[in-house]
Amino acid sequence: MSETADQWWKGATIYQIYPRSFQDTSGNGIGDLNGIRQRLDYVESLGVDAIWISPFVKSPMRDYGYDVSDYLSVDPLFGNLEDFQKLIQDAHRRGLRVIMDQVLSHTSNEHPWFLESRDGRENAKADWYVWADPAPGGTPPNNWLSIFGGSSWQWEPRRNQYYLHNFLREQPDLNYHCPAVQDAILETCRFWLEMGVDGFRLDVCAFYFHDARLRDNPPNEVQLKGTHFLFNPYGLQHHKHDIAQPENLHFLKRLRALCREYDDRVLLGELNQSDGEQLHHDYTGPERLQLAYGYWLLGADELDATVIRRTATDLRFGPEDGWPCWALDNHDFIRAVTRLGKEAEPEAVLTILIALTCMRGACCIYQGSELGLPNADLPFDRILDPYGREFYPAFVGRDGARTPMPWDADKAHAGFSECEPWLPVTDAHRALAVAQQDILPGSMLNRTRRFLNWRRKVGALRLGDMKFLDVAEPALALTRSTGDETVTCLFNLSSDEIVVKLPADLHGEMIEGHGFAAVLEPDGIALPAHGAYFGISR
Amino acid sequence: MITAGRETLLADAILRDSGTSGTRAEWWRGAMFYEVYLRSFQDSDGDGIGDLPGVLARLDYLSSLGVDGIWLSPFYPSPQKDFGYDVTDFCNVDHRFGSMNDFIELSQALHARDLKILIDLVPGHTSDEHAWFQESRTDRTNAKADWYVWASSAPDGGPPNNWLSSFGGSAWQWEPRRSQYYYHPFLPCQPALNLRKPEVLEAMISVFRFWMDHGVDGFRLDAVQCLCCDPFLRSNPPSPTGESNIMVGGGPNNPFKKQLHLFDRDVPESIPIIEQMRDAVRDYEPERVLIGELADVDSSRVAVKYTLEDRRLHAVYDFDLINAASTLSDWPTILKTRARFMSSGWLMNVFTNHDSVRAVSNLMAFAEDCGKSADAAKLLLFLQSTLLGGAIIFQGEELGLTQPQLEFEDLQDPWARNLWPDFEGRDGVRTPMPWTDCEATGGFTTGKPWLPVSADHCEMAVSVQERDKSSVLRFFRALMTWRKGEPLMRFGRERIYDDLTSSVIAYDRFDDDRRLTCVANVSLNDRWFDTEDGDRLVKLDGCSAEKSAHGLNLPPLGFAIVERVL
Repeated sequence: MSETADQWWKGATIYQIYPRSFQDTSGNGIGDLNGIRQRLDYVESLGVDAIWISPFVKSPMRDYGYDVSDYLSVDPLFGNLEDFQKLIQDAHRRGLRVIMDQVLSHTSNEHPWFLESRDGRENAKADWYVWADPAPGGTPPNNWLSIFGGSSWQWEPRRNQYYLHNFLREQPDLNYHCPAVQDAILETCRFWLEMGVDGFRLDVCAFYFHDARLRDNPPNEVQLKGTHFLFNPYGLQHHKHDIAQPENLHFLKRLRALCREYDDRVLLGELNQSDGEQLHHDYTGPERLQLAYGYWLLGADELDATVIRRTATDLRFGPEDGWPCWALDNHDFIRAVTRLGKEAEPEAVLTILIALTCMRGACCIYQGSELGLPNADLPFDRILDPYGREFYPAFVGRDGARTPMPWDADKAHAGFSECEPWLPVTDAHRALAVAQQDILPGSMLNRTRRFLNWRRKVGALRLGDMKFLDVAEPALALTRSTGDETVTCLFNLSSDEIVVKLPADLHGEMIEGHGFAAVLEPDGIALPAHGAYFGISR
Repeated sequence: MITAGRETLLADAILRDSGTSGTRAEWWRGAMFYEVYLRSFQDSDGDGIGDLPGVLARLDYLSSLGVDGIWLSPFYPSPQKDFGYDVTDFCNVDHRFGSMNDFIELSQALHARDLKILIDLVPGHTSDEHAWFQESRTDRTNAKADWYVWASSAPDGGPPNNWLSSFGGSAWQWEPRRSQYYYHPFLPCQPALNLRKPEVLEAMISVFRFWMDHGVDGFRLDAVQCLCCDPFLRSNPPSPTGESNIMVGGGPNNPFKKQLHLFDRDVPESIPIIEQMRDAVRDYEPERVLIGELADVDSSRVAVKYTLEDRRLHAVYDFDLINAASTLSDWPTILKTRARFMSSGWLMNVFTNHDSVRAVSNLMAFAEDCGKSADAAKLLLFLQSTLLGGAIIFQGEELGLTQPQLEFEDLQDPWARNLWPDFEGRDGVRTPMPWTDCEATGGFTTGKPWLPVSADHCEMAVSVQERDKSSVLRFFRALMTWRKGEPLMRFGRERIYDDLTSSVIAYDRFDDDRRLTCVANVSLNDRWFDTEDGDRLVKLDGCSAEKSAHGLNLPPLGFAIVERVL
């Protein structure tokens, strides 16, 4: 069915590669594009549909690639354009799609656009960034705060004005109210579409526009509970005017129109935390993003069936609703095994992960999740992430999820690099290396592989309509139905054996081959700790 | 308990001004100090950074200048983010600069040559790596929880008020451990101490005692205008004109200038703190001296409040003359204001220092531009050494060093890196001393100097000037020798002439018996100055003015002193 082929992203599993930490081939302690290419056999073996590669374009790396100084070339640390072309070819040959990260809300302060824009108020790019005069008293023009700490306005003595930055001061915000900026950005995206990428992951895609009147944000009416959330004063503000402006959607539509010129390549948007469900409604669908992910589960310290079901329900899953992209882990969050307190039983996280892959939506799987890696515990002097250094120790930053892939415990630096890597490989990670898990049939790695490869063959799990079944915690139950078949999925999200009673007509015929255990008993379906049951009825 | 506002305190100081204390013959009045900027004076171990053994090795040179003493810039352990003005231990020596023994040896050697030593104390803030701050930041309940200025956020998460750092950005930095902001008038790594808390002030005063016990003759106190901030943390009003009514650093467009600094600078609560510091130095015999830096305020006007009647600082120095660079011809007006407020207070003359620009390039750019920088340097040294108040001569000024041009890549000063190119920062004045002309590093170091030594400076090196009879250095030494024998230069009263042709600065230094009239031509043309019968031209090295029956003919950048017995 050609429609399905075009809409490969529906129900896809997307493996996220953080290129700095995947595989180093140049011997500089930093992963590179050729390293990814070298490991494509591994990626293919996982049974995923696509890879999303975090930024590899030119950057001074103040925010590790999320500060782009040239949208059209590969940073020499990672290789060159030819390496990337070869990577696309090799991936496509294996049937793997390639999604690249586009950081379009802001650039590096070393981008030539910014260097020109900051030089004065008259130049051709004078309004390409968000400039404003100081308030009376010399302070910033309004109360907006940067996520990475402090005011989101930085003084620029060359223009005697402030510029806006939602993140680091080295990441000035592009002014999307300026049509020329939109056009220039679309042209950079076209460049990569021409090269053959299958889609873009859009970094902070609700941040493109700001309120042109620069109105102050009101204080957050919702009282944040506990000191845990208080580490960042950003949360004390209701971000009414600095992000998620109505104009944003118009640009997303322009971006989608561009993708339509190229067989409707996929747009996977990153949404911010506040009001992510509403944004998801607004931003996904025809003419908009195909997929988007929020921090719904990524930010959660506790996950149970109720939370998962409620999140999906809030996002809605009717035939006309947009498709979410589920994620438990990525390069911005503490690894789920640690975050959810499951270091002693990482298989608990695997069950949640496979449950997500069975829900309506796509699913991102972050490198290392398939190994059950815990968050790497780094001392302050090894922390490079500017976000973590700013808020340490209340927030230790993102480096714990960004340490190198452990490939082989018996090799130096676990086979990631021949020299000292940019972030260390911890002993806990080394013990969980790929080579060591490869030879154990019951390892996290092999169980993940088996499940994902099995899942690919069950069409309803990709495209079927979804319905939740009412079962008590800690079980999660749902069905996925296409025209002719219904698959029943039942998960035990606890460490105890449970017995779940389902209506008999929903049991279906038990399917095997996915590697998860369940037993049909007279009084219901018995699931061991972290078990799962799949049945099919036609 | 302070109930008076800062203007009331100033008025009170003016009313209580006896007008006579300035004539008392204490050693520090009218003294000539030489500021040794340690990082750039002399490196002895090849790390490219000057050190205490380096200063010791240059003792003959220091002694040869004929000054009364030195002010030694900070040598305390420090992460050097603000080059020593961010202290982690007030009672020790940074290993980069030497050891405690090196300091003691230097101090004794200076005293053996009859040179005083003032050390630089930074009482208003510490480094964020100081153990006090490390403890204070951990939570809101620890023993040092209120040793710094902490405040909760505004309801919108922003800082508690609108105060700005003069170094750029908000003056408040978020501390996630406490979920509170702390105040820093300068860099975020320089949290302000809460000196209103008695234990904190006592801890600081015990630092004073530590060094007095080690024999220092006094202290240069950093940033006295920031010893305290408003206890109610009230926001500053915007400046009605959008411009500053006073000169502040950081370039012409520093947003800091757009506020009236009513609540973050020069606040009344700092006065009792200063009085307690004075009490501490008064306990020592002989009494040790407190010379405070006053910046960001209308210092000529408010100085008297800070030096009132032996109860507060002995003297202050400020930036008014440095900042009046573009209006040298208006100096008589400024000098008059200063003289008026000096009747009981004491204000030292500073034409440049480690925070400014080389005096020749700043105050006399017009002369430097036509190759007359040596003459201009002599003229400035003449003014600085003869005006009421005494002076602090920054190292290299005795050589007439000009401001070197640095590349952005060479810049180390965080202030410059924040505000460049609107503000070029303080590195230009901080480049190493050029001792000899035969090495690229001017003999400062055998390694790579932390800031480059310019080729121009090597041509003006000490070794070159020693050989040249007409050099700025030899002029300065002769001037100091003359000055030592002339008590009017230290204790004489002062009267400024404000009715002269433009570009002539003249003032009398006098007592009941004698009068010395100092005259300087700050232009590149000849100028005339009327004299009276009986005036006698004082013989002074480097003075090229000619006296006729009715006056002085001053050549471009010329100067002279005429004496009259009353």
